[in-house]
Amino acid sequence: MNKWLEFFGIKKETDERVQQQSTKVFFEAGIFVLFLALLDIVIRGVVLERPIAEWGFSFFIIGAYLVYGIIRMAFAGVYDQDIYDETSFKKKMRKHTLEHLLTSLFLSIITTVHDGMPHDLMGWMEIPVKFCCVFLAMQLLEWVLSRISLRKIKKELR
Amino acid sequence: MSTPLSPMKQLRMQQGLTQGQLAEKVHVTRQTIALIEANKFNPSLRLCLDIAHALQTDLNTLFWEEQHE
Repeated sequence: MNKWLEFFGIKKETDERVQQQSTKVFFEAGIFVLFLALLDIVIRGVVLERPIAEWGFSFFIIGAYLVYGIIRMAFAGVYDQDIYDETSFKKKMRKHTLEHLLTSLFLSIITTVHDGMPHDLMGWMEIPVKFCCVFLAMQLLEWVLSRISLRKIKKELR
Repeated sequence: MSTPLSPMKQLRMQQGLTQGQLAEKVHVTRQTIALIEANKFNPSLRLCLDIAHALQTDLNTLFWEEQHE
């Protein structure tokens, strides 16, 4: 990452205070860009109801910011600050399992109501399949991000 | 009424160093030294140690504050 920053002429400061302030400034700039993208979606997407081709890229910017931020937090070891060893990891995963079960159930019910009640057996079979897919996806993502974060913390504490 | 000099500022002046000279020794900007002396910036432990070494003193002498309740 530092090589890329140097490539764009953003040098790493030796002074820690200047480094801190620069980081803060770039963070604020990122949030400002995010705000502009959100404003674009609200105005062009919701208010003016323009086609997605016009405001889709703003949606992508927000998505990319959030995805990059979450992955970066995991690699920095700060994704979940309550996780610092295997015991706390397992405890957190148990807590997340319950949350994910409830969220998956809620989403399955909402999508079923939105799509209309099923008329045949295949339609009814889709509901638990949807539920399982959403639950497993959420659980896997949580496990991967928490594991990456835990590995970083363990490496720092070695 | 003028504010009392911080221990760090006193020690720096006793050694005949300017803020700029001390800043150069510890690889920070003069602004940073000024802000530390004015208690407006909290340096990292690493920087505290570097300043202590540069002023040939210890952390206690440089940074200790009495807590008033």
